[in-house]
Amino acid sequence: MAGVTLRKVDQTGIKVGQAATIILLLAGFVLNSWPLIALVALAQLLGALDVPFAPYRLLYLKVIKPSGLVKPNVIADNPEPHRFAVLIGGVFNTVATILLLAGAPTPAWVLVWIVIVLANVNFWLNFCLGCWMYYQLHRLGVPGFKYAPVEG
Amino acid sequence: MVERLVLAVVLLALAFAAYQLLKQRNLQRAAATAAVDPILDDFKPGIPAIVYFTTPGCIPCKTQQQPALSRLRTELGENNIQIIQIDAVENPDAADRWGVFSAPTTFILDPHGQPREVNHGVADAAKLKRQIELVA
Repeated sequence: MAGVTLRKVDQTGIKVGQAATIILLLAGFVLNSWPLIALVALAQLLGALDVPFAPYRLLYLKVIKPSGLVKPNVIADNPEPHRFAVLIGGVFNTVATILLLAGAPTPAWVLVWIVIVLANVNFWLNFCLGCWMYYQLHRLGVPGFKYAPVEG
Repeated sequence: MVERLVLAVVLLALAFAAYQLLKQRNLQRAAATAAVDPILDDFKPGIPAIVYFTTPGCIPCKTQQQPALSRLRTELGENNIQIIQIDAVENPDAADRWGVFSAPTTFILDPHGQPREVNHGVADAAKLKRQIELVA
């Protein structure tokens, strides 16, 4: 039931993933390290697939949350738009990794910086461009984008 | 590596500066319209206000911003804060006049109705309270 059946989303878990993405991508850029970019891409793609062994999920559930550093912030929300946003980041970083390996660093780092900027916008301003795109695609009736925004 | 580190710091600093500039321009634009803007027709002088721009499809507005504003209203009391909610889809002209490009956006108005701060994205109750106390 699109727009009615809502799951819970832990916003803190999402923030941890964004913070990890920003830190690792910045480290990847500074160290000129394609494996770090590949690692983020893999973490994002696994997160988008919502597998139980996704690295960011494990980082949050097994390390950050038990440490008490942050408090869970579970709210009613659709997880799919967030996963779509992560998928886009994962695709960008995957392409960036391929470009780095192919000897085309400039477009690769441009892609990485796009992800860094968008992750920062999401982390600091709570504006999720991927989520916004998801709901636009839903409005256009694109198959697979079945969840409407939460009704007030 | 040092060059890349410097470049990263410069890029981040530029992004931060660009955002601060954007906020400043946003406030100037809002200040220019606030004195005569019809969305402030019900503004009560002497009480600080929050002008809250939202849209029907804005998830963080419903799940985070609205509850934060409700908490703030309860905490400060009806006589110490006024919240003016604007649906940017219903009233796109107002959103344009105030330079709103995303929801939620909240403007903090001093007791004279002058915009003094703007928050793009969700602002929690504690942050809003601090901002209100600064302008009250």
